[in-house]
Amino acid sequence: MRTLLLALFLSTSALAQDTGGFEITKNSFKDLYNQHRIAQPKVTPWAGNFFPYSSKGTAIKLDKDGNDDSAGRSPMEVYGVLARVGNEAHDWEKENHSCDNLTGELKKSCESWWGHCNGWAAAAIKELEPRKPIKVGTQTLSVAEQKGIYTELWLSSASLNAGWTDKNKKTGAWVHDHNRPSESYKMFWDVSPRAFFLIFTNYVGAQKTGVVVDRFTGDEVWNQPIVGHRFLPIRKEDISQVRDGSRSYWSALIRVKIYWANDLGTAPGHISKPFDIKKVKDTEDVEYFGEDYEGRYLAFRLNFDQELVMSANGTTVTSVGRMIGDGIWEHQENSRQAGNLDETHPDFIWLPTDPIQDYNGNYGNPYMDASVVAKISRGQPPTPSTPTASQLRLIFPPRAFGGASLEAEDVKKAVTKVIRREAIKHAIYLKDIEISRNRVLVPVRFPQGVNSKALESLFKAADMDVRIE
Amino acid sequence: MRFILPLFIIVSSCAHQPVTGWNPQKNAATQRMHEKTLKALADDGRVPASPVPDLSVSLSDLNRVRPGKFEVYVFPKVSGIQNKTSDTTDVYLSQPRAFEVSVIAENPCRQFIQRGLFGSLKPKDVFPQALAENATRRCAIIEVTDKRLKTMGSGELKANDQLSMRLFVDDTYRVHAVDSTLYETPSKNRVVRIVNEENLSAFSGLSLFPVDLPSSRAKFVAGKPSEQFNSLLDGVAVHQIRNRFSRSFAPVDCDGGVTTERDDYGSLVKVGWCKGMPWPSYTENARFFSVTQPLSVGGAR
Repeated sequence: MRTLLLALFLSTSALAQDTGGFEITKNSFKDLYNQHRIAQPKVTPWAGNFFPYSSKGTAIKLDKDGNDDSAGRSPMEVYGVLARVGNEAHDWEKENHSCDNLTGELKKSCESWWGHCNGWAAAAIKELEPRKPIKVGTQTLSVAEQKGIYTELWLSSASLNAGWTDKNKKTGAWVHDHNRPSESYKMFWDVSPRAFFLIFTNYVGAQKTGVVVDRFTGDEVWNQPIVGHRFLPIRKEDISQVRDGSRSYWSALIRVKIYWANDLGTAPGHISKPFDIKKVKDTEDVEYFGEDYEGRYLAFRLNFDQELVMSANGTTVTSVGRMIGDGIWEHQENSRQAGNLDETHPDFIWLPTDPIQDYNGNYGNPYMDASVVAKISRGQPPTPSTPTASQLRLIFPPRAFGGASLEAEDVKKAVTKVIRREAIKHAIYLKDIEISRNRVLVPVRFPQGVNSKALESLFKAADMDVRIE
Repeated sequence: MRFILPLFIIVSSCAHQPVTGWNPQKNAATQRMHEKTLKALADDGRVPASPVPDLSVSLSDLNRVRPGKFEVYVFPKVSGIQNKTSDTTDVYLSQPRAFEVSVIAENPCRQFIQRGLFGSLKPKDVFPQALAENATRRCAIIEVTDKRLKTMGSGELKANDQLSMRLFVDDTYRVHAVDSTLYETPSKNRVVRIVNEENLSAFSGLSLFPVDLPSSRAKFVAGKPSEQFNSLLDGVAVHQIRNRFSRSFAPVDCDGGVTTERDDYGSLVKVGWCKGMPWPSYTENARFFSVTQPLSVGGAR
């Protein structure tokens, strides 16, 4: 895995310290600060449960109030009834979104933090909060079941991203080692203050949309949807002129409080309370607004090519030049070897766009269907799905994979790489793959069926000969 | 006492002056930032150069382009960085989407600015007055529509889905503003106007999804654009376009230029442009790869 991360980082290292896939359409510090100093999304993302793998994800059995109940039913079970996929979605979830099949460190990580927080965070931004049970045909779906279905649907979504993370290297002294920045160090610090400021003010501020942050700056991932931000007044003492020979620029300490919706300890059937960023004060203390929301204070420096002049109360920029460079986080400037920086700046920021699944049978539940979920959300019984699940045997010549000593995992990756381009829901299990001198047999399950001719032409387009049985 | 008072006045009169209190030499990270900041400071003042003369491009040709409305096929880049497990997936292209580009108006700038042409779209609020002073300068309002969202029922749309955008462009391909139409509720869309200020240019020409044009600093390297985008417009991508949008689609093999640059935010933008065409043929940035349906101007392709 580390090799993969390294390769990824190398190929995208140029993205370090930028706004990544986010489109920045305003960059005037004066306008952004003055117009969007205090902002929250138009629709507040809801607090929810992250359906931990340790409880079998959305295969967890719940009662109608959303409490654990072994005699109850799971969100995936009721989804299966409505989507007419039987128990497949539930069984797949139990098999794949649990910690049961893991061992050692992975199992430990899984039990302590793996779950559906990215699915919930995306759903909390893109779907209105279910606040009451809904009747769909003969079924009545509880709030918890609706939230579970949304969370599963959005687990694997297309998104805009800024920042990278190394989930395999425990946070340690290396985050303070500014003299010898390792690849992990770069991934730790790659969301620059300027990127943070621009993304928050352009998206949460100007567009009034939610964004998701990984609030755990270190190796773990805790995705939280942002419910608001408030930049604090800029004081006279926050502004300095920095001179270097004949050159000079202006540096300002920018302080901000960000708030997000919570998922830790939130019951699946919980209904969120309102959030109002206007109730946040212009102080560094982070207010407590109940269990649904949590906040954090952050400070960083931004630099300008002209003097930053503020109004007397520090809430309005009177004049300033262009933002120059990436800036620096205050905790990077003042980091100490022993300091724990896991709860500082966002490790990465992202915005879900489409509820696509990765469909490779490992991560996204291949039995989920966005159009079915859309109907459920409107209380309409989904129309019976005409295509039925099928399994095909894909037979390739070994040269389709480069010929040399093949591993089942490489074969799976190569096949998935093609199928996922068409977002065809499928599942490949390593144990099913047979590699011999003359052929490579890959049995693939297609939860919603597939047109074998279309599949054949897709592989042909990818320059891979295949015979499909 | 008389001695102290003048001193106090001097000190207090300095209080509103900038303090030279922050030291960039705190550690290696602050030093690096300081050096980068000084470098960025030195980079300012680059002379803008329009891509237009390099490639004999004319905005007016949008009126002569065939087909009149044309499509741009966009392959969004997908990444699984946010997944809450130890798995990190790579970045890949997902299914293409078609965006329709149509020209609402292409006229002398002064008609928009002084004569109220298309006044309901408020072009005079975004095209600078200076463009009206020269009778030969031309401006256009171009609309880009997401064809997939256009055909979806309102129940299937999600909040903030970007249905279309309207671009206010001058004949150097500088984008002065973009109006984005965003879905809000089944009965309501909202239009968000983003003005690209003269001195604080926020986007690299047209850099909004699903189109991207090079920034005004772009320098084109002459060559065949298709050669630079072969790996992205691979067999699968061509197959997908043919299956969905255009059976006869084939990558354009033309002479032209390619520019590769990092925009002001560090994101890579790569644009391939065929000589004499009014729209780029290929674009790649951090969010997507796109290819334009083959175009011809007048009779020439």
